[in-house]
Amino acid sequence: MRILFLIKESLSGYRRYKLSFFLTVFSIFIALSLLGFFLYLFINAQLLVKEIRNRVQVEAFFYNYVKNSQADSLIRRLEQINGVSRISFISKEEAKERFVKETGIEFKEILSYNPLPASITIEIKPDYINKIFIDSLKKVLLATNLISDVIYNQEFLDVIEKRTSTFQKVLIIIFSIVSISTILLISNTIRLAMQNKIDVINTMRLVGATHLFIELPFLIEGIIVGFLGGLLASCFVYVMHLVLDRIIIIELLIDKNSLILILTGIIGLGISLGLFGSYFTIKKFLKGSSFPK
Amino acid sequence: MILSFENVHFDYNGHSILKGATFLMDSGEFLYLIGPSGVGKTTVLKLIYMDLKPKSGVVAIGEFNSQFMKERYIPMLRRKLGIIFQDFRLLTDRTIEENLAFVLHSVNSPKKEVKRKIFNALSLVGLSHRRNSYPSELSGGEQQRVVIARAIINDPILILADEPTGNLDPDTSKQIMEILRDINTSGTAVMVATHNYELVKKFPARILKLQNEKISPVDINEL
Repeated sequence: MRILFLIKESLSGYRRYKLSFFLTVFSIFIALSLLGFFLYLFINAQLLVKEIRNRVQVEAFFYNYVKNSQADSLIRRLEQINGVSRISFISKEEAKERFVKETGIEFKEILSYNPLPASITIEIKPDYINKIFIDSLKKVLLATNLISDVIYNQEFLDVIEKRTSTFQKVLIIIFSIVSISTILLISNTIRLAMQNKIDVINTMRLVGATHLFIELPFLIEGIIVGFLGGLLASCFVYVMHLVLDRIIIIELLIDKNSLILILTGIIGLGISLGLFGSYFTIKKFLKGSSFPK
Repeated sequence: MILSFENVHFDYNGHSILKGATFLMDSGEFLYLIGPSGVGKTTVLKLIYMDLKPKSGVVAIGEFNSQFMKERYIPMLRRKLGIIFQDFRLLTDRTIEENLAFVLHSVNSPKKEVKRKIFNALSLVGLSHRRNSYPSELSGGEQQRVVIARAIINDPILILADEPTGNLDPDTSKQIMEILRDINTSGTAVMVATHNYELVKKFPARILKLQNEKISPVDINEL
């Protein structure tokens, strides 16, 4: 097949419907920019959640009557549990020193004894940081009768998880709307192109061009429209990344590879939507039409 | 034999056009299909180039048979036909040469043959000097000659001409018929659908008449 001929044919109609062509590219640009930027924010939020999760610690406080040997034995037992990555022991003395350092209050002046209990800080492996695991760990700890209380920043984690889940749903909805509207926009452009080129299509059919040969210029046109829209959207997301990074100066966790993946993904999505939009339109058009009477 | 119509039935939304139409056409034959306007001559041609499918009966052109033919083979059939319309249907935004090149590119003709085929086809219809003109710069007769050049450029086995002189004055019509006759003399079968009986009398050949949903032979003296 003559690639140059096909490309030339796919570009030949643009002179007649320039405005429609540019409006479609612009609309795809807006739609994909919106989607791309939300995706960018979403990935950043996911990385933030991951980072916060890595910082989750469970603190368990010993009863005052617990001896150091009992605490050591518990620590050794806990270290055997899958999901526990590190345990640090904080004695009563260390707790007191920290308290004084953090608050500046010397409670010896008020109390004749150290009321702060010894404790252990348990760091959890990232894959095990979930409510079920932490709750079961809490049960194990309390069942030993050595631990009086277990605390961890559960509420904060719950809020973060809930927010990301909502964000994910919003993103899926936006993605669906953007995909459908992009396909409709491309479909409209291709339909206009086909109506403008009905003589060309009929001549091709008349002289025995295959369906694929007739379809290809329009498929190429869909790809071009989708590519241009995607490319512009990709540039927009990159500019937004620079703005956030250098002008607003937000701590961005996204790495270079993920950013490249998002930018190429936007272009790829534009091309795919352009291809699908034009494919379905031309199939429908060719099926429903025959030569004029 | 190049074409066979066997007991063909066809209707448009219940309005019957053909009821058991039957005829044969030989290779290299010149044949007229006559009948008043609106009787269904164009439908017969569309059935031949398989833009329409018969409701029943068989249309066979060479090895292509409407009964067994899959849609994807229709382009292969059309590459063996040359089709001429009354209203020319040239691509108005392209020159004559580009119009013909477009046909050759569409059927994937080898690049080195394109120029030669265009030159041969335009020479045959006497328009090689106008190859860089646009259709709008040509007279009706010249445009129809370009359409003929387009029809013969792929060396068809059969040319289907639907009222080829319908938009032309008598002198130009005569020129067009002479070109079609020349093409026929060189061995290509030609079928002309027309209601211009005077032209049929001037260029006599076998005549079929479409009337009352049937196709039947007619003697030239009956016109």
